[in-house]
Amino acid sequence: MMVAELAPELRASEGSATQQQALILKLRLELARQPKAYVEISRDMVAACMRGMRVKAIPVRSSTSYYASTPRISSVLSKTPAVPTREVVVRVETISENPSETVSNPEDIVSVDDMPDCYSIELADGSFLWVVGDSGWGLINAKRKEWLQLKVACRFYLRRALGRQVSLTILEMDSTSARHLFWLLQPDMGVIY
Amino acid sequence: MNQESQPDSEKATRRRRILRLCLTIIPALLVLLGFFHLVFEPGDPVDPGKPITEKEVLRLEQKLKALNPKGYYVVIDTAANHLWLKRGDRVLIDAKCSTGSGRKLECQGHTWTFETPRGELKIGGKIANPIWRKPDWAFYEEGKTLPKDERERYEDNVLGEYAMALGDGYFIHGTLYNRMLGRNVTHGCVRLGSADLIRLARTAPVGTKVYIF
Repeated sequence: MMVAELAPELRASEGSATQQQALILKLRLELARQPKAYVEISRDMVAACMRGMRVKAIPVRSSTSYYASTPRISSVLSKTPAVPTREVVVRVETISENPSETVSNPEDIVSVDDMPDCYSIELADGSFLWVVGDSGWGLINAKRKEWLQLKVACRFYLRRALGRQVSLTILEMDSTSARHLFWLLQPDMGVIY
Repeated sequence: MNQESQPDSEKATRRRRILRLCLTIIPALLVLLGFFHLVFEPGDPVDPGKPITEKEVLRLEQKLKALNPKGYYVVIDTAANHLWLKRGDRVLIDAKCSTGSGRKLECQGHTWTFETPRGELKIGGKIANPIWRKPDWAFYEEGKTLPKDERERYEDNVLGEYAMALGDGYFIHGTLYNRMLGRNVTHGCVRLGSADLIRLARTAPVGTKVYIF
C-alpha cells in the first residue's frame, strides 16, 4: 500500500514524508511479526494483512477522523453492534441410542450476512471506530443505532475531557463491506489507523 | 439541651452548603477542562528519534518483505468461504471452500463452538484416503449416546481423497456435499471440492503456511 493512501492526515502533518513512511513501516513491522491478521485503515479502504502482505481489501466510501494526527497502532478491545447479532445455539436435552430425529439442522449457520452493518469498535487505547453501512433502518433499529451513536459520542468526549489522546474514526461503507469488516475484526486484533 | 443542639444544626447546615457548592463546582470544572482540551488540542507526541533517511525506510521495507511467506502458501477467507494457493503473487488455486458454521452445541455439560481457527497455521501432515474418527460432538449432534465400541466411531469415504492436518484436530479435507461449498457449514474444518483438494494436496508440501482470517 502506498503510504500516501494510508491517512490523509499524513500529508498535512508536520514532519517529513520519509519520517511518516518510516513510522508506518515500523507499525506494520510490529504487527506483521505476530502470527495473526491485522488491519490498516485508510481513507478509501480497510486492508487486512498477515505477515506484511495484504490478504483482503474492504472498500470504504468515506472516512472521517477526529483528533487523529499521526498514524497509530492499537488493538480491538470490543465490538458493539447497534442491533444484536444472530446466534445459533443447539441445546441437546436428551440423547438415546436410536434417536427418532436429528437434533441439529445443518442449514442453521451464522454467516457474514448475519453480521451487523452498523457498530462501534472500541480500541485498546481508548479510541473508537464507528462503522455505518448504507442499508435502510426500521424505526426500532434506527433508535438503537442513535442510542449506540450517543453512547459512543459521550464516552469519546468524556475521555477527551479527561485528557486522553483518543480519536474517533467514522467509516461509511456499503452494507456488505461493513458486514465483512465486522466478521474480520476480532478481539486483540492489531489495528493501524 | 437546646443550646447544645443549636451549634450542631448550624454545623450540619454549613456542611450541607459546602457539599452543595462542591457538587456544583466539580462538574463545572470538569466541563471547563473538557472544553479546554477540545479547543486547545495538544498534538500527539512526535517521535523525538534521530532523523530518518531514505536508507532507513528501505531497510524497514526489506525487513517487512522478509516476513512474507516463502514458497507455497494458502490463504483462506472465512467470510467469503474462499481458498487460494499462492506462490509469491502468483495464484495457483482459486477455489470455493466451506468453513466453520459458528454454531454452538450444548450437551452433557459441554459446549462446542464450530468455528474455523484464524491466524497462521501450517500443513502438519497429509493423509490419503482418510478415515474419520467421529468425535463426541458428532454423536451428540445427532442426539445419540456415545458408542461403547470404539470401532463405531470410524467412518470412511466422508473426508474425500486427502486430509491435510492444521493442528488441534482441524483439517483441510474433501466433502460429500459439493452444493454446500461457499457456505459456512462445517464444524471448523475447511472443506474443498474434489479437484481442488487433489491439486492442493499434490502441490503444497507439508509445512506450507496457511493464513486464515
